[in-house]
Amino acid sequence: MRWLPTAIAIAVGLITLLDYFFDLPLLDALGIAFREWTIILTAFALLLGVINLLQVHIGRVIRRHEASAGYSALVVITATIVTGIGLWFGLPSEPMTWVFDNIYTPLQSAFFALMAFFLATAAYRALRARTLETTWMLVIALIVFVGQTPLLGVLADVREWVLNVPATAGVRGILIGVALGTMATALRLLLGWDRPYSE
Amino acid sequence: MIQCPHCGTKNRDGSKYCSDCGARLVPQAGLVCPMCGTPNSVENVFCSKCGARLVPLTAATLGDKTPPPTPIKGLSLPSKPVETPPTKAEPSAPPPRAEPPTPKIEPPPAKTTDDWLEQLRAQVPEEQAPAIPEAPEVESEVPAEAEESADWLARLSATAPVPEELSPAEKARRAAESIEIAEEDLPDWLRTPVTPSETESPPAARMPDWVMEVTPAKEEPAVPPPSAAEEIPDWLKEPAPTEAHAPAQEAPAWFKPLEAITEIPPPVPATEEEIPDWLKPLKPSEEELAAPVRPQAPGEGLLEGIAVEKPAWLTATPYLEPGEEEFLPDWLRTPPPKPAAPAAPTPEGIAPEFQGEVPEWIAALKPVEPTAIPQIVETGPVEVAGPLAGLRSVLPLAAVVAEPHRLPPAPAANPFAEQARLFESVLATPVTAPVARAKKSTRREKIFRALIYLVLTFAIILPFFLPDVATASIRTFGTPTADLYDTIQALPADALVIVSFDYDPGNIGEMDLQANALVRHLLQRRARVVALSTLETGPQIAQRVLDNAARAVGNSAYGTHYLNLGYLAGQEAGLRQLAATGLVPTTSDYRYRQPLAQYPNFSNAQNWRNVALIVELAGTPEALQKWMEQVQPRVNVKIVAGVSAAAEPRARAYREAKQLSGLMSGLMGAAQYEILSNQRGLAVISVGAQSTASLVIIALIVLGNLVFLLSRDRGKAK
Repeated sequence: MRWLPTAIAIAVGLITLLDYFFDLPLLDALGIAFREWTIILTAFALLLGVINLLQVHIGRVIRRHEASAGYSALVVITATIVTGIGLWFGLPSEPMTWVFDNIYTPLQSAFFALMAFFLATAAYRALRARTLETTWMLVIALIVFVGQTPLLGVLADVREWVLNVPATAGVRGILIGVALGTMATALRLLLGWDRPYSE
Repeated sequence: MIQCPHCGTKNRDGSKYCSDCGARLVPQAGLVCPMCGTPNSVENVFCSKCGARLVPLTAATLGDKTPPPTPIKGLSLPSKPVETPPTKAEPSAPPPRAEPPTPKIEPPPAKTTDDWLEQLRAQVPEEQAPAIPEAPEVESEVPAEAEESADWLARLSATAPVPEELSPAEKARRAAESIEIAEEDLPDWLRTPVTPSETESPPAARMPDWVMEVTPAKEEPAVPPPSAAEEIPDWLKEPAPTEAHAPAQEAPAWFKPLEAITEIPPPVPATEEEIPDWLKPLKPSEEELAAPVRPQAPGEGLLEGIAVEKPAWLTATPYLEPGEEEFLPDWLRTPPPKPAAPAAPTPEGIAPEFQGEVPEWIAALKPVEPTAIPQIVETGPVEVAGPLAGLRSVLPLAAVVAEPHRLPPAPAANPFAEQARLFESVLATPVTAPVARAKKSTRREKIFRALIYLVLTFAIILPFFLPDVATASIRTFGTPTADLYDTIQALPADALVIVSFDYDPGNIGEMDLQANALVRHLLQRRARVVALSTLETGPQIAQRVLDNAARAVGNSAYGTHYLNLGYLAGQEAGLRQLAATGLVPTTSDYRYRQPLAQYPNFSNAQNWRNVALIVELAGTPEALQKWMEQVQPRVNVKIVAGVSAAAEPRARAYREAKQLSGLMSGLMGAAQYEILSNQRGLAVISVGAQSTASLVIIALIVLGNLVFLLSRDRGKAK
């Protein structure tokens, strides 16, 4: 009976793929049903992620010898409080909005803002013309920095060219590579060569 | 199946105990091996299963003059050999120790020193056996012996049970039954009835030596004299003598040779010429013969001479179930009384009187003194649990078993054994992960780092006080942001626009500025804005941005001009489903949890043909990529995007491919859009701060390279 999961996976994959290329009522109905199931499974995956997160941190709290037990305890307590508020007052409510706007958003923004200082020290240390490659990287970084600075607008066109031509070329190459890899993986799944669902 | 003799339960074959009542199914009618517990026949010297010795070697070699008696189980004859040694020892009863030892007749030394010689003599051919004593001499000794035995017989009569009086026929029948039952267990010399005849050698010739010594002539009646019979108590008058005096024709023929054995007369001293030379030194003196005979318990003297060397398993009283004692051999049944210490043998183990007579080839046959057994007992384990707790070596163990031992190393037959050992040793070796030692910062470095942070902070704060200095030269013409502005500007009134807030609070610093400017512009254009998000935190952000924009624009209401549909689950699948089905009427909004059909201004949103524009606000390139892959090819709707500066390179690829109708990126894009929509605000001021911070970073890069080059040149110069 090991062929059954493989057959189901191949059938579902082919139906979804054909639904993308052809506009047929039957394929549309089947594709909609399969996607609905996928959305439900994704929601359960999110729930499993939350449970796993709590398990890991509760385990660290139980094993008090770990240094991160205090932070784990804070995570568990915070998650419990926020979950309780959300369940009690509902998600679009004043308490939840207050928690989000006054705790969650400032903390994450501040954490993200610290990158500017780390970037400054890293730029001082890392961007050095040691070799030819690092010299090219140093030059490009200086052009982009200068080009996006309104005070030094003389290099704005050069910046636009760098972003539109070399950078876009590199990004397209990356996207095409990702697309080819995705197609290869999809083909292996559709042909039954890879069966991660039955292992 | 084995039926339990106690409760009748049927048990499986091979069961030793009843599964119902626990009674022993295998009767211990023999010797139980002390090593493996296997019941053995009484005739076995070694265990039939494990080969362990059942009869102790010391008892056979040191303690008894006679060869090891054959235990006869179930034979109810009064002639059990193991019970008769006292009769043999009567004439050689231990004399008073105070008397000087007489070299001729001292029995104990002969018993203790030359028992191995006795065994050798027992192997002498029958024709060379000593002559049987004559009957008249026996008859002359019996009255005196009977008289001297009166006292201890009288004591025994007071305690011994009175035997039941039976007729001679009944006694013969019972004797025959008992013999029939146990006949198969009898040795050969007892199994086949021997008819005495003149041509055959007497049965006594096949008996042990002690039997030959005491066996009277067959024609001699072993009738005690009347004087002795009168002094014997009544209970002794009836049983055995009656049986012994039964006429020969009344008893079975096979029983006749046994009669001579059952009736053991007292030993009769032989004449000087009848005594062989090797027995002459053993002849007791007249005083010793006249000494009173002490009653001797069965088995007494059996272990004489080895008491000090007896192992613990012989001295300790084993635990026996009630009734099991009768199945034990006689030499184990009753602990023998402690005999008097025998005379010490010579260092060579041969009595002095025999040292000159024993040839060397006989001396070479002397068995080696068993000294290993006491050592085993000394090293035996002490039981610590169970009913045997506190006893040592109740179950005798060989020394090699009792001592801790180690298995010999296995031969390296496996060719991978060496590799396996090497692998195990590698695994057992504690691995210390290479810890990247943090370079200890010097004081100068700390100061320099603090100086960098201070300068950067000052550069960020300064534009807030001088906004025009930094934003005066912001360029907007010909940028992707201008294309985005033009797209929104071209929307008709009441156009349905879907705005996806796909960024989290980490990108709020630049993305909120874009969203605020864009949503304000949409509301100013009187577009109907439908917000959703593929991130869990997106709906909250969208609600806040929409409310702020509505307050800024005015005359905009939730449900009328804008609507928040909340979280769109499923990632790529959810977007693919959105592209396939549109906004489902049953989809509920985020604030009031009402279905989309309840909002008239947005009831036609389920059809993509009614959607004028899709605005994707992506904090990461992956969020934009999902929309561009799952939705943009399926719907004929313009898509514009506002992305973070980190996602700009990826977004520019879609912009260059004309998949995006407009694009604004980062803080600069937000500032450009504010300028284009004529709503200067925080984005423009923030761009000033970003510009000064960028200048500081450029200066640091240049400074760092200068320091690096100077230090490298200085090193080369040195």
